[in-house]
Amino acid sequence: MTGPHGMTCEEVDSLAGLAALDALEPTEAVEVRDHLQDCPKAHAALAELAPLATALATAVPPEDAPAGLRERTLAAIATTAQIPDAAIGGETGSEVSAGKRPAAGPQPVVAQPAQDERPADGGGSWFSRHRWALGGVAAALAIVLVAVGVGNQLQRAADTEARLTVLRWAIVAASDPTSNVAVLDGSGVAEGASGFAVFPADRDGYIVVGKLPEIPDGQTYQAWYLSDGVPTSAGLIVLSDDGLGILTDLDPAAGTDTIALTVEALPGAGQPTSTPVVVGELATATAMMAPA
Amino acid sequence: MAAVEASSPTLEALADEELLSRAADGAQEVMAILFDRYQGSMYALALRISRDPALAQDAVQDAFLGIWRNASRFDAERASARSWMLAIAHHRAVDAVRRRRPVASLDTAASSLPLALIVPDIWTEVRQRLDAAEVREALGRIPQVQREAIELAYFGGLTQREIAGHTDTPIGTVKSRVRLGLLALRAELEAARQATIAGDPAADVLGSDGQT
Repeated sequence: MTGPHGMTCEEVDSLAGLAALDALEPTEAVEVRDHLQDCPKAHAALAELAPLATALATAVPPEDAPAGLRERTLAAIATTAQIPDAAIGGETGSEVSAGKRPAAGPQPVVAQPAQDERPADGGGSWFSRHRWALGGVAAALAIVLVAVGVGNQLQRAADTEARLTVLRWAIVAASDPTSNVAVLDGSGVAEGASGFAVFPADRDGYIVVGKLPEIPDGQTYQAWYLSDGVPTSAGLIVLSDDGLGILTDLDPAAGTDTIALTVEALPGAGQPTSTPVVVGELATATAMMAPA
Repeated sequence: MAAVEASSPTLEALADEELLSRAADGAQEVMAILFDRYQGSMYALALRISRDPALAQDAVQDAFLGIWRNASRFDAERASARSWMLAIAHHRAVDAVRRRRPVASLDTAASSLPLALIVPDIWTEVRQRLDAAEVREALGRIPQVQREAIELAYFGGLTQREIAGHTDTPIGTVKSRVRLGLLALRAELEAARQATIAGDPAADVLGSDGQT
């Protein structure tokens, strides 16, 4: 697929080597992904070169890691929630879509639906039961492509072109290592939705989520800042016709480590009343947070 | 914790792909086995990339956490478990190095999982284990400028812009060197593999009477 804003097939193929070695710049990675999702051509070049990265890794003779790493790693795993099968969907995920893996056996650790559960003071049962361990989250500049924008510009920019421009700008802003960023993944009713939350160090942040399904009148998507399982409302998502949800001018509560979206009755709730349908952990570009 | 103790013999006999499948179902105990199998390769790779034991250990830990968290996303039809896990480890190591390096705003690694694995792995020969010497020999046989570009991209974690600056070449040249270099590397590896299959352990792929 070609076009004024998309990469051409030739450009994608020319980047096949760098893509195979995971050496693309963030904006290039976005554009290649965007192209692959829509392009009917196989772009075999990328597939053919990918195994060579494994070959290069193999060229380095193994060396045992120092004692202690095994125990630390397994301990961290023990407190880390898995991304549930249901959250994997849509080609737009920032993480690799696993394709058609049947959900066999018991579901992974996370989130049982809790429809009527009202959170106790200080933290919903879902939220406090499944505290996300944050160790090991790489800089979450997962540029997931959703045509969006930032700030008031976006909400006024009805036309797609302007939104794409603002998206590119947002990607650059999100590449700032001093920003806190969360990759957002949808599950349940919002399976296939994905986006990100960006909180630059020096100005208001925003949340952008694409492919959010329509919900009935009288309901809304509400965003939450979670701090160690304790939720604070971030506001209501403005949902456009094309499934794009936006919330801007954000200043997260101190200690926020996770962003979540739930479906609530208008005009919004004081506390989440159900399991989040979109979630993402915040990570900084610098410090790694220790496992919970 | 049980996972730290010796694993049962039955689990240890399972292939990586099966272990990942079980991990996706929440079987935490398989992570100890995967750790033991891959920590050496991952640590060596991360050390080569970062030249920093502390950073390398963090990268290995991050990688296994990522593997655990994302086990549901592994699709055996798209990549071998080995490729998938090593790619994650590589990504974490490059990520750590890029963040350590004073960066211009566009340099930081984008996503938690590498782009390359979105497309299926169709080169089945690589599913067989290539040994380190074989790959190094093949690397030694490709043109030097291509090898250099590949090494800077893969082991240096540099983007094409950075490689261009580092080697004083135009960006277009960098991406073509990487691509052609990888194609050449693959050809060398395939030739070496063919020579082995043909039963000639002393086969030297260098030189003219090349097998193709």
